[in-house]
Amino acid sequence: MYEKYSRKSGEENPSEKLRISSENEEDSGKGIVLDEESYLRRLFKMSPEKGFDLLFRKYYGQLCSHCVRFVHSKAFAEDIVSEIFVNFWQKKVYEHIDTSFKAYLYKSVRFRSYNFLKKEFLRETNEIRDIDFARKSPVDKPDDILFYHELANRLDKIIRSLPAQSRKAFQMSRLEGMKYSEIAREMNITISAVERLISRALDKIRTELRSDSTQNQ
Amino acid sequence: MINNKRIVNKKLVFDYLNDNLTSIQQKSLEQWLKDPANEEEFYSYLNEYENENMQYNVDVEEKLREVKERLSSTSPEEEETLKSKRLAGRRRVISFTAAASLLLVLGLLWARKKFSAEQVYAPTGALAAAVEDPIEKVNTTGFPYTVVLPDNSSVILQPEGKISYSPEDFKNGKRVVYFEGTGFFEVSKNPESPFTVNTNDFSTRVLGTSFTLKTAKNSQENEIVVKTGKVAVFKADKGNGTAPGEPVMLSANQKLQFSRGSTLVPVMISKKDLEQPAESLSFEFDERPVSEVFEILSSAYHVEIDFEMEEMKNCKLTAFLSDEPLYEKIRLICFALDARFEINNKVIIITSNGC
Repeated sequence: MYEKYSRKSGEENPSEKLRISSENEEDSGKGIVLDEESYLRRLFKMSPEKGFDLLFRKYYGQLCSHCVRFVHSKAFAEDIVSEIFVNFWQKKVYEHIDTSFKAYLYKSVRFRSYNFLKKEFLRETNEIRDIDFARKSPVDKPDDILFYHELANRLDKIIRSLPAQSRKAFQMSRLEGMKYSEIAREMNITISAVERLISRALDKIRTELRSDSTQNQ
Repeated sequence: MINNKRIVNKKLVFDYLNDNLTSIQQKSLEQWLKDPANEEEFYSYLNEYENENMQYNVDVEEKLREVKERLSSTSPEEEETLKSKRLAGRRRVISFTAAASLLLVLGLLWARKKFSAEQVYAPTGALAAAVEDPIEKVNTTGFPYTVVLPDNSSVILQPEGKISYSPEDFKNGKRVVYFEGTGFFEVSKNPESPFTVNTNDFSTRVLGTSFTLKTAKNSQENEIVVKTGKVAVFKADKGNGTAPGEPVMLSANQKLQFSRGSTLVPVMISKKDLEQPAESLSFEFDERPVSEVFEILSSAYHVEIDFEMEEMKNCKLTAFLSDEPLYEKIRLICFALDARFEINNKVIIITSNGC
C-alpha cells in the first residue's frame, strides 16, 4: 500500500525515491471533509494497532470524565471505559462501525454507565421496566441523548441533597476509592460510623432514584 | 428547520450541558436532536465539553498499558519506552534550505524582499477590471513561497507568481482567486463551496484537491497538472458575449497544456512532470520521527517550523496527508501527536509535552 522512503532535505533528488499517490484517485475529489475521524479511519485501515493507540490516547480521559458523572466512582468509570476499548478491539468494532468513533465511544459509555447504575441502584425494581429499558437502550433513539443528561442530573441532585457527613463519606469512598479506614482517619470517626454513613447514603440514593424513575415512567 | 440549525450551535449545547437553557431553547435542542444527522455534531460538542471540563485527571498511558496487557502480553521493553522520562526542551528551528543559505548571503536584503511579497497594491490589466480592493500577493523573492488563503487552502507560489482575491471572494459559500504565474494549489475540502481559480486564459473549478497551474507568459503555454482529485477547466470568457463553453475534466495525474487559441485535450503524465517537492511527495509517513516529518514539510512548503527538539525526540508519526493544505497537515499531525500549534508571523510553532 505504501512504501518506505528516506530522504534528507536538499541532499538528493526527491522525485527519485518518492511515490506519487496515484491509486487513491477515486478516494479523493469526492469532497470528503478530512477531519480527525477520517484520519483515524485511515490509520485503522493501515495499522489497527496504531489506530487503537491513538484512539485510546485521544478519548480515554474525556470518556472517563463523562462516565464519572454517572457512576460517581473513578475506579468504576475507568473499568467501564477500559472495557469498552477491550471490546472495541476484540470485536473489531473499527471494521464495521457506521458512526464516528467518537459517537460510538460516547454512546457506549452512556449505555454501559446506565446499565451499571441499573444493576447497582435499581436492582429490586420490577422486571417489566427492566425489559422495557433493555428493549429501548440498544436502539439509538434521539431522546436517549437527553435521557442520559437527565439521569446524570438526577443523580447529582440526589447526592448533593445527602446530609453533609453522609455525602462526604460516600464521595471519599466511592469517587476517590478511599478505604473505610482512611475515611475514618480523615473524618475523625470510627470505621463502623463510616460504614453506617455510606450505607445510609446508598439507601437514600436507591430510594430517590427509584421514586424518580417511577415518576418519569 | 433552517432556523433550527442556526439556533443550535456549540454554545447552546454547552449551555444545555451546564443546565443553562430556557425552555424554548430546550425545545429547539430536542427538535434538533430528532434528526439523527445531528447526532454526530452533538457528540463532537460533548467531547469538547468533557475536554474542557475534565472531572479529574486519568493516567491515560498507565490505563493503555493495562488494557493492552489484558489484550495480549506486552513486551517488557515497550514498558520501558512508555516510562521513559521527559527531558527539558531545547528549541530547534528547521528552516528551508534555500532561505537559510540565501539569508547568509543576502542578510537584510532578503528580509526586505520578503516583506515586499506581502504588500498590497492595485492590480493591472485584466485583473483590475475583475477585482475590487483585492489582497494581492506577489512572490518577488527568488524562491518559492507558501500563501495561505482565508479558507486555509495553501498555494506554493513560484517566483514572480501572483495571487489576488478580495475578502468578498471568500464569503457566502464562494471561494474565488485570480492567479498568474506558476503555483501549486492544495484546496481545503468543502463540498458546499467550489474553489475557482481565474486566470487570463482559463478558469479551474474544484471542491478539494491539489494541482499545479502555470499561466501563459509570452510564447509559453498554459498548463494544469492535477496531483489528486478532479479539476474542471473552462476557457476564459473573453467578454465578447460567447458562452464559456463545456469544461474539460482532469483527473489525478493528468495534464492539460494549451496556448490561447488551441483546444483542450488532457494527457496522462508521469511523476517526472511533477517538479516541486510538494507536488511529488505523497506525504505518507510510517513511524517517521517527527523531526524528519517537519523537515520534509519545511522544505516542501518553504516555511519555518519551530518545535521542541528534546521534547519531541521520541515522537513518531504515522500519517496520510497527501493533498491536505499546509495548515491542515499541521493540524492533523498535532492531532496525532497530542501537540498544539500556532502561526506567528509565518513561523509555525509547535508545542508538545512529548510522546
